[in-house]
Amino acid sequence: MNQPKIEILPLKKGFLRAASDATHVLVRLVAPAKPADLSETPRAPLDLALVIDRSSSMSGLPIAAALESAVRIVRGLRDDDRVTIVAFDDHIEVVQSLIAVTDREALALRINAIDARGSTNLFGGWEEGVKQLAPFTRKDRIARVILLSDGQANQGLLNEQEIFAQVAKAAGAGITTSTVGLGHGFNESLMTGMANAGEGVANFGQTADDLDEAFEEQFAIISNSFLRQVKVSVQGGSDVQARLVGEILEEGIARSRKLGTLPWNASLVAVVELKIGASAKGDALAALNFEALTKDGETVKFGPELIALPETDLAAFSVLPVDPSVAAAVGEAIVSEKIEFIEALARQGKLVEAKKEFEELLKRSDLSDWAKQKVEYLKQLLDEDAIMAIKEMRYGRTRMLRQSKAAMMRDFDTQFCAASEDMKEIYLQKKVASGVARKPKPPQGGTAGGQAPQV
Amino acid sequence: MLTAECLYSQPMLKISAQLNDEEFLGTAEDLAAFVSDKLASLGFGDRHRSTERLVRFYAYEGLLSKPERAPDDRRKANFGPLQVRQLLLARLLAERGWDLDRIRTLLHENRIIAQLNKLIDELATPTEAEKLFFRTRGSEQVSPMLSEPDARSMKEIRTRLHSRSQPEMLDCSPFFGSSSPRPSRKTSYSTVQQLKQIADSEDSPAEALRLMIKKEMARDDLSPAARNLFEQLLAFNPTSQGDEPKTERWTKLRLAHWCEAHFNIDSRITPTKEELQRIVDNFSKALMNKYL
Repeated sequence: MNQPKIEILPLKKGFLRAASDATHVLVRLVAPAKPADLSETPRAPLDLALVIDRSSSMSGLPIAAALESAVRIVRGLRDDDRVTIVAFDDHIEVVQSLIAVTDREALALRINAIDARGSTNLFGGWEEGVKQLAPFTRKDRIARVILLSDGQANQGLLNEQEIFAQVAKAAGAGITTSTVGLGHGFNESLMTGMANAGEGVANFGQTADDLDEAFEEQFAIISNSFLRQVKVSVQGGSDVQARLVGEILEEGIARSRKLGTLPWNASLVAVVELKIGASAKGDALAALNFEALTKDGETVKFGPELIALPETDLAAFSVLPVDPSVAAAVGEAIVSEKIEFIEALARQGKLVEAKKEFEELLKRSDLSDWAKQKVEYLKQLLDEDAIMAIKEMRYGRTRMLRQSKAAMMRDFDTQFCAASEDMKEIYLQKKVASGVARKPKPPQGGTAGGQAPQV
Repeated sequence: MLTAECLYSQPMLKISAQLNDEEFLGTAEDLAAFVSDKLASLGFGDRHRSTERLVRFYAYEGLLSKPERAPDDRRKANFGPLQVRQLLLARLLAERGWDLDRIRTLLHENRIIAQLNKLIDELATPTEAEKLFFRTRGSEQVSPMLSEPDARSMKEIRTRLHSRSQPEMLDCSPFFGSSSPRPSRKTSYSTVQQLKQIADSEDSPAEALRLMIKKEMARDDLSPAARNLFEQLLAFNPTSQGDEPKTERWTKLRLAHWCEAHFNIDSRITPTKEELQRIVDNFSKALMNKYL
């Protein structure tokens, strides 16, 4: 197997013993370029459960968007893929049990017959999707539930932590979960939490085009997967407190994190914060370990890799140069953590304070061009639509932390330009607004399907 | 011990290739025996055995395709390789906790032998995910015929029952999970009397139980779940002597609007009159002795 490369890139190439400020280290797991002999190798076949919320609040645009997206997905699947369709309100209906994707039009008809009614047994719908896939999970196939919902669960299992535990259990057994939030009313904490626990992707949007881009990205990742279910963990050395930056309100002092799927020729990153005490050892400040699944479902481990830095005195440390690419990458993780605080303020209705925090954030000198545009967008959205701003903050910061990045380090600090993003693989493209399609697709004839995402 | 799991984990012929049933043509009894022997030879335990009654029940429930009529005797039904596979799959999956609807859907969408062969090979052993999300026999609680509250709970029930401050109310919901409005003591007593009559009935206790359930079903305040449970119980009971019973694997039943009972009924077993009598006796005695 081609080995990934673990890169440890300190913000400054030295450390100051017993410093009051923490030092940051960027850690990257870099996948090799896809070998030429593999470039034509098809991805593993997919077993997909499309779990569609049909509760009455989905009436109108949300259900239309969900159904159109589902049809587009089905049309884009391969013949050796299998799909099951589950619709739920307070009642769970298996619209189609797991079946090979041969008659796409028949499946489209079934999907389009789903109408909106009833309340929302979100967990029940998800669980039925898992049950449809569970007996058929195999190492050589990819099993994924995609949950499309606009709502808050109000039937069946409601406790978020219990739901996350079940979703994580399914992911551990090979069935990953992605979620798509629709409209204004969905519970973003539940939807992103399920995707994180389920080792899938969280997206949201208003229209089929918004969702299309999300699905296209999701399937592109699956198709180009080098390693999946990647996890990183860090252990501080003697007299060193180590933690992973980001999601401190949700996770507390996190020493391990699920990073998701690592595509070929891409990287996954984590930023480690080190608080170095007086008796720390420079040659072993912290140890890193990675764990992942190969395309064939085999568990692989990389590490331990030691974080080692030369000790410097205050004068030398203060003039140590900073690598701008590393600074931009570290800055993104720190910004993501700050956005988490601002999101919490906005949730408490403290919009003025939240806006002030954004203004403070914009004054930072270490913001990458992309991060700066994102923060400006969030600040503006907070004025226009606080509910959507909260959702954007949640998804945007999650994406900042977990989205796969380019293999080249210089991608972090180059000037952000939406047009140049189009040149990259879709899963490497940076977006300022997470829930809006970058380029809405033109209408395609009169069918409900439009253009199928490339699966 | 040699199990199906360890057999199947070895490099070996696929199960579908070991059926050797191309020539099979037989009655319900023959089919049951053939599939039972085949499953036993493949290492699946005794609990996977089939009976003639079970074959007829599965055929009635639409799990097995209709048999062909024998050319020499129109009253005789002949089952063939298609039904061998359907029954084999149904037995495997039912024993793993699949409900009949789920099995029926799977079999209806895979009606030809090649598809069934693929399914048999794919589903021969449960996946890790299936073990986690399906209630398998191993994970099921062995439920008593009647779910009885513990001693402390019983004391609380008696205290409430005899409490002068609540003379009309008997709230069993914390113990039985009932969500219906609190019934009056009079209603509870009359229900117990009904149950006593059932226990004392000289006719079929199953029929008496059925009548009581029908009466309960006439209530307009039943939740859909409770109504569904009553319907399951009605489906389970023999409609008249000699009819084929409709069995449910595991049924939680709300026998009265204030009380649930848990029955564990093996689909291979047709409860006899005596067994049903015992169920009702136990139920009635438990109510009479402990509640009143």
